Amino acid sequence: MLSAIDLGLIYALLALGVFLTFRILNFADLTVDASFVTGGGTAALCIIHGLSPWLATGAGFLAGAVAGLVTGLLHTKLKIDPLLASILNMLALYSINLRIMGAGNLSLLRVRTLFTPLQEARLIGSWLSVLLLGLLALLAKLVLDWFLSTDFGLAVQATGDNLGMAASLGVSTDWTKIVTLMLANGLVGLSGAVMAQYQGFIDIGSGTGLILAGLASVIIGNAILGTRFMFLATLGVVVGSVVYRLVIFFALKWEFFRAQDMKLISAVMVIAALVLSQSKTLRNSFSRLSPWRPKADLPEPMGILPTPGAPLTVAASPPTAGPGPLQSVHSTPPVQPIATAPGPVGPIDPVVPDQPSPGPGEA
Amino acid sequence: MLRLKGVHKTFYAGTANERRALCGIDLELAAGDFVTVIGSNGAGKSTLLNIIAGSLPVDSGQIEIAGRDVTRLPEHKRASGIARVFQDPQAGTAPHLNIEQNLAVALVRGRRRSLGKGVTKERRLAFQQELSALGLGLEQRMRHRVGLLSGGQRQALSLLMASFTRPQILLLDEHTAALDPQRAELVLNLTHRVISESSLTALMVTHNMEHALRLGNRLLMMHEGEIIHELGPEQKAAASIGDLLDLFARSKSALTDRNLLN
Repeated sequence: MLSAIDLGLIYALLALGVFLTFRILNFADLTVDASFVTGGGTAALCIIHGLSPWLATGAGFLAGAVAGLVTGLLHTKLKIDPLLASILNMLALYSINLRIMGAGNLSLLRVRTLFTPLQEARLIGSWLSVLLLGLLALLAKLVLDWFLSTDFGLAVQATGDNLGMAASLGVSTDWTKIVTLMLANGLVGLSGAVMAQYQGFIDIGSGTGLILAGLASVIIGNAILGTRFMFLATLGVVVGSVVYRLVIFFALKWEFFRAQDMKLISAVMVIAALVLSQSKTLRNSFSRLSPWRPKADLPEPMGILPTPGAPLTVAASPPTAGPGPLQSVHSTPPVQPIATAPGPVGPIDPVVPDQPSPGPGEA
Repeated sequence: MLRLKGVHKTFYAGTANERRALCGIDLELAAGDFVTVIGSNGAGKSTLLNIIAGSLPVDSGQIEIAGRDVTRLPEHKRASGIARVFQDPQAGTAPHLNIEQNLAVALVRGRRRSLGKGVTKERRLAFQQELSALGLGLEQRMRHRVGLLSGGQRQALSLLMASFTRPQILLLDEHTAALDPQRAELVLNLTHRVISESSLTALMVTHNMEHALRLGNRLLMMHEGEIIHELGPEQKAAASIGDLLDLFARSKSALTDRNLLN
């Protein structure tokens, strides 16, 4: 069970990246499946070539960030839809990853990694490894909290929340999107780098389906701890990732399931999380349980998958739903003048009857 | 402060749906001018604001702000000098950020956004003062998400976010049209106050002729992409809503005649 928690904490880095793109930036980024391997493969290659494991782990972060940069450029400069841009990049990265790794699989069993000391002391999957990986996840979470509270981070949040408003306030939304995608995929790459060393290998298929795991972690975590405070929202993501791995762990303990059923379990769990987080009663019971959640919050603000156009969207509520009248900007008939001076004052309208005009008569 | 020279904008050019939104607009606003713009639907009023703000590119013509040619600048680079309030109360604020975070985003308008703290103690105090001047009690709710506010409150907040950094030009796009009469009146009074207190240069589009006459020192009437009439300060002060309707009806038929002759 402790090794399941270990896994959950390592994948929490990835889930934080998914949180950043899906929830904060409102960007359905599927690059994750590939940038995980990009990060892991780069780190493994560096370690095999004798680089210090710490630097190699950093290189994994950078490699992930470059992958994010490409998705960002595809979207902002070539105007490709977020989902499509990230799928295209994911496809391209598969080949790139094979180029980086030089083979479908890289083994780290015979080289020193960050985890070698723990392995030698037989402390992998112990409370010590949980503690150390927990500190790493917590550090990443705190850095993310800090980032989002800065002037730039607030601009990132505004970009995801209301693009038009951000642009009108002078935010270069292309730039905020690119930086956020780089940071998010950097975290994913970091997760891959740590996982490669933890497991002692990285495989070209290691990242398959991880986007779902990340999403499930975000949804589960946010359902438990809410999204009202950033501190709790990001903490929830870490918790969600651990819960997710524990559920899989216990499901696999049950003899009915075999190891190859893991993907099915993952998919079912995501579906369950999606459906349950839509249900009002569950949300209400959560808000009753958590004292910090306000009684009347937004009608589940971010939906489930926040991008309105994304085919994955399950949430029924439009992301902009909120109190207040909503009128479309240009297509409505002129609004009647209100509370004006007496007299039949109508709006200027093209149907004002034409009159023969004797000439201009300005005042 | 603002100068437009021969600005043209056509949507869907070369197709069956071609629509000429702006046909050779020449306009000059002196510093401190508060110009109201009226006109029927499709007259090009909103397009005019959009091309000034930079959210739409012009087809031809030139836009200058404070003597600087901004025709080719994208929206976010013009934002240091231009602030906007939109018709839709949802459009001007970020619903999932709280009030002080929204204000912090607006405070850094057009400047480099650093990795310094967004909502500092000093900023929070300054925001509190600005909010209490609105008289809506929002200073008590600084940590509330903006999505929880009513349309009128959000529009008042948008107005504050647009004006408290003293932009060179303030663009108001039917910003009271989605509000009930009382809230519209409130937001209109706030508009009058912030513009006169900071002597901002402003352009306000409205469908309400009474508002158009009550506020501002100049009035433009637009029709089919052209400015068909302009009232200066004295004419505007003397004009009534009836005069505006007369003026509009007359110039509209004149335009129709001209089209026929063409």
